[in-house]
Amino acid sequence: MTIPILILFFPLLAGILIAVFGKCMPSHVVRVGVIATVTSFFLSAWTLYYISTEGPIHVMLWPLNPEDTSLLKVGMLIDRLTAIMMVLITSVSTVIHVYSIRYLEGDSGYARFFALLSFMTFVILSLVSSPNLFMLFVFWQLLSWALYLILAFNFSNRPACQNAFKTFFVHRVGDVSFLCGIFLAYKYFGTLEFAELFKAAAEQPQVISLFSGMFDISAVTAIALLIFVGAMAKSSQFPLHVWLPDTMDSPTPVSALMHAGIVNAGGFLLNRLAPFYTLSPNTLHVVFVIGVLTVLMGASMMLAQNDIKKTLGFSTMGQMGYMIMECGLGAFALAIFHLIAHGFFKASLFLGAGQGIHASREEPKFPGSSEHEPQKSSNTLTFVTGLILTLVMPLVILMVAHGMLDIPLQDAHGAVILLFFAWVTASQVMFSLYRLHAVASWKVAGAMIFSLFLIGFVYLWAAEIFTHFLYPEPGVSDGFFVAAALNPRVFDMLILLSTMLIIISWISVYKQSKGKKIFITNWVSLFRKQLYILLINRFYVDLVYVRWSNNLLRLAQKVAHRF
Amino acid sequence: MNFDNTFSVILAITPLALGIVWKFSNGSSNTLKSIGLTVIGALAGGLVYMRSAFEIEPSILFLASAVLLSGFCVILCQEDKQQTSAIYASIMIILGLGLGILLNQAIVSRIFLGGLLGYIAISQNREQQNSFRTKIIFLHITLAIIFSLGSVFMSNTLQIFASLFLAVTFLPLAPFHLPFLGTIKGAKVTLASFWIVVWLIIGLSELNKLYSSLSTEMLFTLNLLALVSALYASLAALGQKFNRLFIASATVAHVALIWGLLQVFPSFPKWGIPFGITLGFVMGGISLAFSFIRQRYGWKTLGKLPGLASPMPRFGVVLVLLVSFALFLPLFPVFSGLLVMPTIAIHDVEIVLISFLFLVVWLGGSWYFLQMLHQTAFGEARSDVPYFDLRLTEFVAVSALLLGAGYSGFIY
Repeated sequence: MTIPILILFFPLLAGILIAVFGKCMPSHVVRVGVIATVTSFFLSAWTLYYISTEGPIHVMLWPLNPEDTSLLKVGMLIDRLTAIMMVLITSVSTVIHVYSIRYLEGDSGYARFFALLSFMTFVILSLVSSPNLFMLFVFWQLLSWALYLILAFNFSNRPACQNAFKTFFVHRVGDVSFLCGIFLAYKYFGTLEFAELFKAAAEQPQVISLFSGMFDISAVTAIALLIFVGAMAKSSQFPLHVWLPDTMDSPTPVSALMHAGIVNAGGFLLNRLAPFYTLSPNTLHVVFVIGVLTVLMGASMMLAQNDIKKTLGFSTMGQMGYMIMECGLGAFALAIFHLIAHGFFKASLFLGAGQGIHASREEPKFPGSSEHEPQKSSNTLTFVTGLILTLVMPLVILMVAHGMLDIPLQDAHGAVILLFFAWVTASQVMFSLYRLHAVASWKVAGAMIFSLFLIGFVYLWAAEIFTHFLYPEPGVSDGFFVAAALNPRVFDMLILLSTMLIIISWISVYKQSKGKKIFITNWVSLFRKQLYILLINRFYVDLVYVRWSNNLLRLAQKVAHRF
Repeated sequence: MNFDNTFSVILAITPLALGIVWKFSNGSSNTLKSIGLTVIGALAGGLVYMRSAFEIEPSILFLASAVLLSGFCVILCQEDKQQTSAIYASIMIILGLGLGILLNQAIVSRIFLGGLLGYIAISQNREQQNSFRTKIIFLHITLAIIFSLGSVFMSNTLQIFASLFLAVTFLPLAPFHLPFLGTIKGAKVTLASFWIVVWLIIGLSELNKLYSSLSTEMLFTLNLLALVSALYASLAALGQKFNRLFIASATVAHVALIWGLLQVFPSFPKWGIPFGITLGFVMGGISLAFSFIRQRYGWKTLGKLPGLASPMPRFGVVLVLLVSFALFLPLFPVFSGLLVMPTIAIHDVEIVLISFLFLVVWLGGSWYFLQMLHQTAFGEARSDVPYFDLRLTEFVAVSALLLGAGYSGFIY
């Protein structure tokens, strides 16, 4: 079964052909790139079908003898997770190839861009089909470098180059941690092959002992944490998030590819190593906390932006935090579900934004300013509906969590988590719908009820079906949820805190819509101003890094003088 | 003396004699170039013969081939100018002495090593000012000559320390890096590239003879020294303005990896020699590419001539490829070393030390190599400079070094 090799081969061949002969055959550059990617897409779709009916495929390319116990093996592992990722990557890449035809027409680096795009597609496809940590890491590195080259595509543009440098450097921070994780994995478990590593880690728990036994840590926890730092850098998680919002000087198709494909690498990595992560619940809790922090920071910083692409950049950061948070709660398959939906959604938004920016540049006159109509006061019906619907969900979650209500799902533990995410999503929708003043209130209330059912259905059943498609072995996905389960009291507190926040938000929104002031107006107003300053300055995280690097450069100049 | 010993001495003496003759004669540049390339071809043939006829360690032949390839590339890219005959002569002398050290054993090898150190001292004397730094360099070289010639007659323990001193001189660790820095700084245009390769290869050969005799305590001390050296050299490379010193500092930073990894990876020839040669070729390649710009515009300071990738696309491609290689250099010894690493036997403290060393070299390298790329190839080109892209021979010479690095890093 070697047909999947062709999925990787076509983009690689296209990249080489365009790089070598691109300048001699400018009219064929696009054709070669698009044909290769479309062919890969169809092959990926066929492979997905094949895998779901026949089971995973293992292809060994080197060493040729399958009995060889060499550490560095090159091959392909195509299971359902890989096949789904391949379909996502090739489809997004095809759209971006086609979009770039006109977008980059006349650019002096036209051939170089398509060569890099094809090469990048090959690298991401190889990454997701890696059968071991060694190969995954090699393509992880190549992805960082290819991303740098494509971000610095317009190499005479200084800001674009600086941001490409920043991106690459942040990724390198994650990469070095990832490599240390691999080093330890080999040292303690003697293998880098996924299946063997998971088995060895589960059967022979090891402890790392430092400073004559003063500091002991489980080897699995140390390895999982180190590898997670690699995922954090690629998926723009706090505090390694600083690169993502600043990469908007590159061409729009690059932004689309990055936000729809590359940032998902962290989520994919956690999914690929899910059986390993479930051996360390503490690591999963850390993953959850980092995800929550990233969601809060990404979503809040997004609100303070006035640039459409930067807004989308921070939105991606928040979404990635959400995806990592899902992994931290054991909902690994849900993270992939989210990743696919977000990938398509964000690619279309970026490509649309690019067109919008171009159109506004070509607009001879200033666009007419939007005349704000006086806001209609909102109806009590929509308020009450929204309030009740958002408060029903935590009640259901607590009842399910404490065994008072039984939801007929295959994974009992997963129901609580899926409901939790359904609640967060539904609450966002309720707040958005509440602001639709121009529509009749009964229609808004109807839309709220319909949304709740739709979101509930998607999370509880569609996500569960997807979970069992991705991890068909009985008990596997439930095992993930069990491993990631938070302390019941902590979970209850989390739900209660979120409920309080939602109640306060509803009161605040309702009072404002009625033109009434909240009783602590001055304090809230001052807090909002300070918060806005904090958000517009991105919590000063970037500034800290800049100051730190400037100090280091000054020290370096002194050292260089004496070296 | 049997035939294989005589043959290896002949291989070393031929280019050495030729170089000495050229030093004092005024031959046409084209003729010298042709003779030089032919001699290197013949020496390569001699190495192939040695491999088939005598029992010789493959790693030694590999090191000697790397010296030949580097010499070939430097001669190939020379322009037909007045100064070039002196460069051809220097290349031949260094080549002869280098081959003499690598292919011979015991006292013969040490005599060639003493000769090379003497040649370095003479070159330093010609190029450097009479500063405190120069005095230290001379003292260092004098000690190295004494150790190299005297080590044959020393007791076992003293012999180990003498060899270690020579090894840290040629695989430079701070504070033993000054002769290396001085030589690279003072070398004539393209010669710096050749010096980098030869210098590292001699260091690798010394360490290859020595590594099995190093005790655990010595390895731990060397690991600590490597960490300090990597930090110091990485900072120096980051703040360096002069292109030659930048390359030298980056080389010292990366060499620290070899010394540090000695503690966790056994079988040095399997991971250390390929990595050292790859490092030499990559740094030599960058130095060669820089020397082409220096020959054209007298360029010495990083950042003074940015944006070269637009008007000089061949140079841009070459530099991006070299920097790409340089950025991933630390991975080569790690993965080839993992193949021979005993798993559980390694102590966790050693792993922590190695992780710090790796962190410094990895992050430092990412920063200063990309900074250099941005200061030379990227950005806006100056409009007041008449640009001439690399000639085909120059392009081929750097590409050959890159291919050599690829072979050494990936295949060997």
